[in-house]
Amino acid sequence: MVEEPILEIRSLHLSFGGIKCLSDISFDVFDKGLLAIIGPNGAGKTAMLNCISGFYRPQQGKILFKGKDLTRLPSHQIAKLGIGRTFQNLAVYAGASTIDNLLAGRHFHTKENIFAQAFWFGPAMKEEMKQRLFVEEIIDFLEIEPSRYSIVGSLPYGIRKRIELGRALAMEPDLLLLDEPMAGMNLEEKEDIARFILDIHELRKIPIILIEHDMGMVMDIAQRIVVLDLGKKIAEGDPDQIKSNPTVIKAYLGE
Amino acid sequence: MWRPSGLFHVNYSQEIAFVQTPFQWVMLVLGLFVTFALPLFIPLDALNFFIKAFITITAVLGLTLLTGNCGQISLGHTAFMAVGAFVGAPLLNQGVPLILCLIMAGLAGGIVGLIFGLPALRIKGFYLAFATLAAFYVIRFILIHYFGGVVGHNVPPPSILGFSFNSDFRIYYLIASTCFAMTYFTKNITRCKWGRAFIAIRDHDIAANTLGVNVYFYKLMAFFIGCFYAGVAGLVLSIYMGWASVDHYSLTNCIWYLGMIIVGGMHSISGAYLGVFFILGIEEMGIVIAPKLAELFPQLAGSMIGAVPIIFVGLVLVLFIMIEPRGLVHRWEIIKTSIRIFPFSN
Repeated sequence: MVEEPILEIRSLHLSFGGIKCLSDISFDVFDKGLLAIIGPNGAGKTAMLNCISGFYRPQQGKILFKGKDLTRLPSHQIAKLGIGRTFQNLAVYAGASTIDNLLAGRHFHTKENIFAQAFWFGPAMKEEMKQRLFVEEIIDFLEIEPSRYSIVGSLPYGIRKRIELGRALAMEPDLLLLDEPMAGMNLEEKEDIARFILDIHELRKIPIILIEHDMGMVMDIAQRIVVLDLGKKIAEGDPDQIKSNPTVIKAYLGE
Repeated sequence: MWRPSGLFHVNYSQEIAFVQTPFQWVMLVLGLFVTFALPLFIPLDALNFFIKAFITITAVLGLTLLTGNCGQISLGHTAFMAVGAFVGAPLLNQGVPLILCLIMAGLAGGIVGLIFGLPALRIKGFYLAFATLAAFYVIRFILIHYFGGVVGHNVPPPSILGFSFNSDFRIYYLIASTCFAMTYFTKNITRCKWGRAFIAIRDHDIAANTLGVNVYFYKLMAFFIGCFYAGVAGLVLSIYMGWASVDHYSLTNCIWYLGMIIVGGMHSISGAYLGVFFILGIEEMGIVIAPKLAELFPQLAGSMIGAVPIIFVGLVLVLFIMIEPRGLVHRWEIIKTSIRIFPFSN
């Protein structure tokens, strides 16, 4: 039986003026898959994610998520379809507490109307409690209980990265895009994040697209790898195939 | 917040409750009692100060939501107040019930605010400030030329259930209760989905977008809600003045409102209260001191009376931006923490 891909990228072209950022990229993400996108700096990895989450509009090609084309949808609707993401540079809400950051991730799961809210009667309260309970599970999962009430702007980098991950998880996504979740971390923190990623993938059964520069980590946790270089896909396969692929080695080390 | 040891939240509703400890209940009841008993004890001058403060707080709460929480600077806030007054005053004249008038004034302010908030979809920060400044003058122009703005509208003393608000003493109750009701709404909005969406847009609009927040919609709603407050405050001010005229809604006031949220603390309700009382207090102090300074420097006397309060407020604003940009609320948090952990320092 052939497995249905959850996300299909079909011959994607993206250019800014004369600069070709992505050309003719195609790959699939399968349900329950953990796909890593790697490549040297400027290869177009983040541009790829930005196309998926609707910040860039590709000139050609299709991005099909559960059979629906994303290329013309606004970002917030793409999010509602079930694509959560984190950013390469931290994008937490620095002025709000951890709880509020995570609750903000529950945005479109929260069924509230402003009039009931303004007067704070019956259903409003219940809905808040329900969302809070869900968020509490994520806090437990990511082990950030001590910083529950802290203002995120005052927390250390590693914790903020976790909170950002938690916020994406709070959306209950069907596909998670992680843009360098381990950038700038020491080994211990990297191992923590790797553990969270594997847990998300195995326990919550969420397919993940991961961009990461730490090759050791990528080779260890990814099931499939797509290699980009200068906007082109130069290889795709499982970690062992990629390790021994001469084109990939050439892209990284040069001739 | 004073909290005896051993008093913990045992469920989530306690944690986000308006009043969390018995001590706060006492303070709330006492505070309300003092506020409503105040006119019986203080002279009319002082009462006018409080009336002015409560009207300003109502308006500034809108700005707290719009600028402090959602990050959209508005230099047209007083214009939206004027819209509220100019819609509410004729309605009051025709004998429409007061509550309905307040709601209509709020809605009018909100809708006009929403229209002039449209540039916010494209521009941010400094540029938005200028777009709203333009809005101020456009609205002022329209009100003056098409709605009889210079002459204005007479506002009859309104009444609820036969209780007529026909003196400052009585109007005080109307204004204080409006202010408290609006405070309660603000608290509720900030602790729900909408408040979080506003903060999301302020702190990182791109991330907010990827989390399913329709940034355009919530920006406009921030303008609508913020200007709803302005509309209500505008009508209340015109009731107090007995007259609705564009001259009551000046640009200077609007800039001072921004100053008040800076001095108080941008994104909290207590910040709005502290900021308003602090700035208005400084202004009053200036008014008291100015004649004495004029005696000392007779050659400057002519210009001094008007200038001294403004200089005082300006000086305070500059000092706050330099020394405590996060406002009085932040300073208060620090003091609270150091009391709590007393023998140690943080």
